[in-house]
Amino acid sequence: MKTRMKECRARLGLTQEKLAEIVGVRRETIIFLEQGKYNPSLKLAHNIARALEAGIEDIFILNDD
Amino acid sequence: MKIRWILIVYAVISILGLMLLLSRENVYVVIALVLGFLLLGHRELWSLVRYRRLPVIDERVRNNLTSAMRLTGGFFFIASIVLILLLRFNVFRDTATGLIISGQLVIVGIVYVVSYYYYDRVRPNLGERATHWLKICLITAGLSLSTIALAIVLHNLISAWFGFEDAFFFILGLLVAPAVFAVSLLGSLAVFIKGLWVSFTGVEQA
Repeated sequence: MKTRMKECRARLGLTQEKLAEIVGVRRETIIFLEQGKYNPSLKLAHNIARALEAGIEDIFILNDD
Repeated sequence: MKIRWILIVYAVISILGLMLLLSRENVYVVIALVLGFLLLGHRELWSLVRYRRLPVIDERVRNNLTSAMRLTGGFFFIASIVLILLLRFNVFRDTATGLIISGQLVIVGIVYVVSYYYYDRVRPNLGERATHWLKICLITAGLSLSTIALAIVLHNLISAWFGFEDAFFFILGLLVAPAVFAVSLLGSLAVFIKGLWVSFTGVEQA
């Protein structure tokens, strides 16, 4: 899974730590999410999308394979 | 608030457990437990010292903890069966039972620490191929370890029942299975360290 979290976060001027605080996760979780190494639950994906002021499908992009 | 109370209860039980172990002169188990706690809880301790609060236990951490606990529970169950078999057939002739059980607890602790680090740090950094190899190596290590125990038991049984020194299970249990175990363990360690290296350095492997 690809993510556009980093671009959206940069657009809003949020640090990884600040985003982690807003959505209630650890900074490591944000790092793994941005690197596409962790698949979030629907609830977490929804919270991140809301914090980044975008839709879930705009941030998390599923690979076809 | 709920997590804070759970941690306080956990800390009190741990301190009582450590005191009990110390009173039974199991100093090495206490050292292993404290080292394991420091290794696993270094981020929590650092957060408490620096920010005066515990880090959040989010869904990723919770999933990793659950997976590590499940794996350790399975290992503890299998290890207990093997240990009971080995004790039943008097393999550890001159060793105190308390020492054997303490050793088992230390190994279970090591399995927990390693499995937590695997789920938390190593697995996200491993590709499909590396994960596949790690699985094969671990299954081979587990099977060869069980073969050692089984071969010792069967060797003793055959020698006792038929009255001659069995050679097949002797060679299997003391030469072949330990060699396979050592190779598969080294293979697992290599893949594990590779994943951990990526985690700490951020350098992706080719």
